[in-house]
Amino acid sequence: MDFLVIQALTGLASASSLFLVASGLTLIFGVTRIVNFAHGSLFMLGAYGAWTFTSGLGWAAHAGPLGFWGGVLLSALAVAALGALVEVVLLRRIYQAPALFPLLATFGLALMIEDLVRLVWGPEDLLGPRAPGLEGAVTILGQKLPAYDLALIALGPMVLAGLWWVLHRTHWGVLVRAATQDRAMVGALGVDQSRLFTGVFALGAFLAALGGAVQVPREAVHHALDMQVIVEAFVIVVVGGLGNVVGAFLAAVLVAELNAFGILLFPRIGLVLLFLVMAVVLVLRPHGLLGRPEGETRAAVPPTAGCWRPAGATGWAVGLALAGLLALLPLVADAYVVSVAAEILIFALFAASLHLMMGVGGMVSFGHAAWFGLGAYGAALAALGLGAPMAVGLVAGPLLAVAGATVAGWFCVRLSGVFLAMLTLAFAQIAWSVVFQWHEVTGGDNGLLGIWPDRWASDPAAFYWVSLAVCGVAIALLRSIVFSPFGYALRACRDSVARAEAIGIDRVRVQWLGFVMAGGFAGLAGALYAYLKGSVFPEAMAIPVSIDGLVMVLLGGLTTLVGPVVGAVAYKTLAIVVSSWTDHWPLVLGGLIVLLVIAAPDGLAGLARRVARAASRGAGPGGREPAS
Amino acid sequence: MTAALEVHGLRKRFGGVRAVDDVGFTLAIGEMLALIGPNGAGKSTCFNMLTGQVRPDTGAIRLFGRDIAGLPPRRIWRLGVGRTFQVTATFGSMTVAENVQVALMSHHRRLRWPWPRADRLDAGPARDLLALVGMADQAERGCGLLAYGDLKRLELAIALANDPRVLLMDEPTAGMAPRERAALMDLTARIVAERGLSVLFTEHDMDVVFGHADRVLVLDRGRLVAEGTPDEVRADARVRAVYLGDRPPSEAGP
Amino acid sequence: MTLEVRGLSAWRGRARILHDLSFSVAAGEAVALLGRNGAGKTSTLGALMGLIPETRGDARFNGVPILGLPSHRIARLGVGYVPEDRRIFTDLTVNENLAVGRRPPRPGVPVWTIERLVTLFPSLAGLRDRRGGQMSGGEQQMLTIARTLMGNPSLVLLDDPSEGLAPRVVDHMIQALRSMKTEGVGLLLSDQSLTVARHVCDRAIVIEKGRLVHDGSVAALDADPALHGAFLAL
Repeated sequence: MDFLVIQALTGLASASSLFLVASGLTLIFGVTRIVNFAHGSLFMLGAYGAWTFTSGLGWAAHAGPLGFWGGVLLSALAVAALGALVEVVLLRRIYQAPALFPLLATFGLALMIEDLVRLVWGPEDLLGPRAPGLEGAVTILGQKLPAYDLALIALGPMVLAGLWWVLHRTHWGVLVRAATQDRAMVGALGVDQSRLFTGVFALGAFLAALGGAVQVPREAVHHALDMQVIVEAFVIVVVGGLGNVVGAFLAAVLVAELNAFGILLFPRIGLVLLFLVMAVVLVLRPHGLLGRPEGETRAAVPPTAGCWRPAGATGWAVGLALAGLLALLPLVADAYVVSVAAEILIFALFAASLHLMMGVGGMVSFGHAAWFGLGAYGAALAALGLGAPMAVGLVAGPLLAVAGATVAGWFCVRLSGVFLAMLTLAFAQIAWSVVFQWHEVTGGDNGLLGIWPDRWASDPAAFYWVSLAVCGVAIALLRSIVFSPFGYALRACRDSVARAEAIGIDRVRVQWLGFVMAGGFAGLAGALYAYLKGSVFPEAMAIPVSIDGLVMVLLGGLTTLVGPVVGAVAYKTLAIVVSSWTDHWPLVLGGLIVLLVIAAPDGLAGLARRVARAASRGAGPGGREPAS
Repeated sequence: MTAALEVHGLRKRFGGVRAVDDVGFTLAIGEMLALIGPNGAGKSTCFNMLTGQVRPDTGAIRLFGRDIAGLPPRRIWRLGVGRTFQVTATFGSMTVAENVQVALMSHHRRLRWPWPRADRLDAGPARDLLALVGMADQAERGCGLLAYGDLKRLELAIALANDPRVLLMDEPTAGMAPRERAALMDLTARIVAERGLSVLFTEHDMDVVFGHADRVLVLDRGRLVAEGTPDEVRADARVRAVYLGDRPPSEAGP
Repeated sequence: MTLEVRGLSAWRGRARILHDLSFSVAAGEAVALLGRNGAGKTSTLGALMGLIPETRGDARFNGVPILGLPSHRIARLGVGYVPEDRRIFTDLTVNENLAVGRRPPRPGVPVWTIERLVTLFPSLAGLRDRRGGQMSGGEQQMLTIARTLMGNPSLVLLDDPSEGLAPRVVDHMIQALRSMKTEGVGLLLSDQSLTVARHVCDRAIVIEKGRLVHDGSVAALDADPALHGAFLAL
């Protein structure tokens, strides 16, 4: 009993820090309608900044409480300034873009920040100072609780009260609340939205950084904090209701207590529990505990460029010729190149499956790696557990992925836009934590080793040919699905939900089926990947793999059909080349994503088209003549 | 039975506002019935309850005797109700013909098939429908490239794909040039006559209403204030009050 | 001259909704913008307020071109806007709603304070801490006008201010608009009927299907049944 009280109090202390991050995220979303993926990075920067100001530089250690809290505040203020800069330079350009792009741009930013943090502060964990005056422990019901935790428990409600005061008692706060409800009307009353947005973003960044800074005495500072925090903050914001600060507080307490007790009751499935709660809340109250339905007018993905046409005889001939040409590769290249080429083929299939979901189905996924990973584990378990041959593994993998996608998809397709994207991320994290924690079956972070292709396919060239055949056929299948009746139904739901429903199409069912199909093909790619590498680790279904897929699709061009394949080839090649030059691939990748979103949201294909059009037209009809 | 649609006691509240308050009317078979009223009168809410986009709080909507109140749009469509949208809702990534083909494939319950190439399925009937609305020559164009008036005609072709008995048209001529408006409504009238359809449409353009409606319903503040032939409605004092504000203010002088 | 519109056209998506409108509103003048439902009244006001992105032509306010400016810049020049659907901030109290509209005083333009506004709209007096969402339609309509006046505008665009209001409330509205006019605030108000225009406006412009079809005194319009029949009545 006493122990439970202490556990609850520890949970509350964590809730404070989580609330700080989540409140900033939710405020920013409320006003700008942008889900800031880089919010965890701001938290992390706040922590590193506080470490530097309180102990890194050496001076504050002697300055007592004033030095410590001064350092914390200084760090938060510095990050707030950075947040304002990011808003002005980057986000201001993409407020009107489809929901996918702000998510991606801020993710690119997160990648860059993580790498920069590694550059500046190094890869090792940093241990911060204890808070002066709060080093000791307090005895409650015979159990000891760090005094600092008590301070944190007080901090959460204090910040909530402070935010409430700012939002209700200052003119600026009233403007923020008004803008959360109706941005255009606030503008028509003479309020400069740009400045308001910058201010809100700075405040959000300040809160996130403060949340990170106050964690310094409790836990080590490291460069993986960003992803760890952003996922929890997402869950809190979604559960609380996007844009609702009080909801964020309630959800932060809920999540922190779930973490605290989940570990006691179900040590294995703590994370799973968290996401299950989120999934249940979203299904029962799609807009969160205190959120309100709002007509999401913004499309999740951009409209396609022109009409997609079936390939026709010439197209298939070109495709076959290309496949034939690719089949010759092992005759001219060494084993390393051949094995890299096989990996590129696998990722082309992965990207194409994601494209079925996003480009064709209009459902943005930030968790597509889940199905890739399940495919890999399915194959691995079939090979290791049953001793099955590769052919069976290549069926078992996709089957496991389909099973997972069937369950997750049922939840996901009930939502749309950003909410759907975040729910896919949540399910991917569930899948990841299951394989990470279920040691007996998955080997946990040791992974599963020794998954080798059948003897006939074990040679790199032979395996390359297998990959080429499987991926080639699968990509051709994906393409033919786009032009099948079902593909038309899927595209109909993406183009106009209202019209689709009005011609008898059951959107939920069609998108669910599309979700499952995409998962199955991703699972096939994952199964091949397991045999290519000979091993599977939880990383196969981690966030970076999902993001790789997104960038491939985006790079090639979301609105075209060949885009994902072109993108996968370009991206993997780039990754290999850049990685050979520098250790800072994440920095380059992050910059690339930001650049893509701003300069070429229609990808390489779109860029090429625009260049061609500009060249052929020269000085086209100017003026503001609307499209005819 | 002579009624295509019978509506009784239809009500819908949004918060404290009675958007539609006890509305009832009948759409006779073969009739073109216009639903008009000032902004905020409840036309859209009323219309959307018929199409299934909005669930009525209470009331009955009988389609050839069968109650369809509260059914989702796709079920209502399957029962033989076609509709057009005020702001055109077409599939931008498809050609004009494909837009109609999807509707036809859905009608024939073919859309679950993941296999054969669909661009040839139902191509013939799609052409026929496009020819009917005068769009045959544009069948292969991307529908993102169409002029607005042509999109409206495409909407009509899509709405006819399930061989409907009742057509619901939400401001069929909004956003069109005056000459196109008359042409579209003439076309609609011809199709209605040929196929024995019954049409309910909302409309702002009074030329369209009085030129093409057999009967007119007038809504004001959620209630039906007048109903009758165009001439009757035009002469109705309550309608004049709604549209002209004939009521003298109690205190304000000139 | 306060507002001078020349050749204003606008599009919504691919539909052209305004065709070469030209008209003007003099300083302190009250002009009615009439026309049937869907004629383009809301679009005209929206285009002038910077709320419709695709426009062409020229519109000047006190000589400053305003087409293409973001709406907050137009508001800061002294143009107030009262939208058709009121767009009250329902989570905010009356005082807070008014605070959002507050702008610094402008030389040569009547200055409004909450106290003066309460005199103008007595129904708001007892409600200052009430949330916007808990007010009646009539009270909301008064609030949205009061909120706009907090910006001390020299011209107010009102989109169908009497829509959906009970007759008694419309009378209050008319009184308030007349007071505003007496103070020297210019008005451009759209009206689906002639109810408000008749008692408030000097001049009326009539649009039909996005085109200007009449520009003259309200009295002349009121006396001309042919115009009624053609463009206003059924």
